[in-house]
Amino acid sequence: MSDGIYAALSGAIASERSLDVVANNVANVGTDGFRGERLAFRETVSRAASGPTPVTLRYTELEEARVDLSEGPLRETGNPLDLAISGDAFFEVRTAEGPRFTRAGSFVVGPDGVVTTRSGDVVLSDGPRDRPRPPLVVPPGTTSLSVASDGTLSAGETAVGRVALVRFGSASDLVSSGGALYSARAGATPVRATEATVVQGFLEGANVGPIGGMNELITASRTFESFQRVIQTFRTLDERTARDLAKG
Amino acid sequence: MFRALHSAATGMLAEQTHIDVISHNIANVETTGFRRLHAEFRDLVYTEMRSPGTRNAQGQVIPTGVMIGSGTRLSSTEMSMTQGTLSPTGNPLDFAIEGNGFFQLRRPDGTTAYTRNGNFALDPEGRLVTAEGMQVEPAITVPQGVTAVNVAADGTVTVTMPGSGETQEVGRLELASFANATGLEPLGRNMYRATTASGPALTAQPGNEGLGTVAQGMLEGSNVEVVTEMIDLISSQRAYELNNRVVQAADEMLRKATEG
Repeated sequence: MSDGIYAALSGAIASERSLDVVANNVANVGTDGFRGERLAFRETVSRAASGPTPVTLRYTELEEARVDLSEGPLRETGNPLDLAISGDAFFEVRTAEGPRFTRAGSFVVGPDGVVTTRSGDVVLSDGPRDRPRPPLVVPPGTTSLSVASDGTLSAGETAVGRVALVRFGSASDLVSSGGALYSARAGATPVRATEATVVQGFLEGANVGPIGGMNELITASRTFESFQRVIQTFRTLDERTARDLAKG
Repeated sequence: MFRALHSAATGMLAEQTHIDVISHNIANVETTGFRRLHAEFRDLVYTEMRSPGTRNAQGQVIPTGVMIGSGTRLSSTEMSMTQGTLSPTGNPLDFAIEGNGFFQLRRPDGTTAYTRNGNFALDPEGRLVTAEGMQVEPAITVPQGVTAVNVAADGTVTVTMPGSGETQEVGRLELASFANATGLEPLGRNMYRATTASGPALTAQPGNEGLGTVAQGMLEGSNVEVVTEMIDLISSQRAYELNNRVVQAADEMLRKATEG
């Protein structure tokens, strides 16, 4: 029996996982603020020390799911609380599970005046991270809302507060938690994003395009096929060896 | 493998709903005061394939985990509050709102509905009503036999009396605004209802407190833009096809795997 069949198997499993990720990316091409993901694989070496000559076997192993941080296309909506971010930053929201980060800036004013996401998570205002930051509250009776490019929200002429904009050191600091929300990986702390700007009346679409999705899809299925062929070749080889040995 | 199939299926269902929303918008391209809807989607839960902090074969701690998502779902349909185009009708009882706000209507069950459609008429008692007979709030009664009805930008309704030609104020139109107008619930027939998400209605004279002004002899068209809807339709259709290709690819891979 050749051990190479296991290496080919690990590759086939890897491309199957890739297809799962591509399927999720493609299913979310219409999700505002969605960030596509890509799997990273790594080589794992296993040394079988038995026998006179040590045999080294190499497998592929899942390393991590990396969030693609490139920007998605902006779409004009005209709604005053639809905010898109231009640049490397996230909005920070407070959910029941803790702080979450999102690029989906489709916000609403709740009946109590608090600015929340459409799922009701409170949008946090800017401020030092070590202190509790108040939500943005729009006074009752406000009919015109404007958001400056630095994220300052004004109700009529009066400034209400500034929307928190934070960024991360690397893409692997973010973990997808569904609902276009991301949580920070343990140990990763976001910092205030000073370079990014807010665009009012726009929403950012998913950063997964049909062409990219198609490309990844074909790659995953073709890679799977080639591993499948390698597995078949090993099988044929083993069959032949068994037959020849039996013949003696 | 089956995860890919299911994710692609959620994508196909989402795009199907998206096309439903788009077709509703396109069907209402000529509806007076119609507000277009936009479907919003959210990604579904992620399955943890490997939690962060596990050790690899060499005993090293892997700092990041592997999470694989399971597709998408419709999260909300959002109403777009952009202004529709105003077109003159010449009818003195047609009104359009330039800017923010809604006309208030008294529904037969006593509750208030809100509309942007100012296509009004007079009932036999001379009260200002919608084309469907619903009374406009606050009630405005136009006396019999007046020669002209004038509505100023601030909503003041004046009538010209026959014979003498004197003008007389008979009432004022009021508009309602909401903290979150996109949270209104559509009732059909151009009407909306206040919800806890929209907040209570705040009423004021047109032109005050951020409200728009009233334009007489005009009607506001739908704010659906055919070009935008066509683009959405095309991209939604392509996204559907793309998800379908994922189903095919997953199916093909399963076939190859079972062929061995």
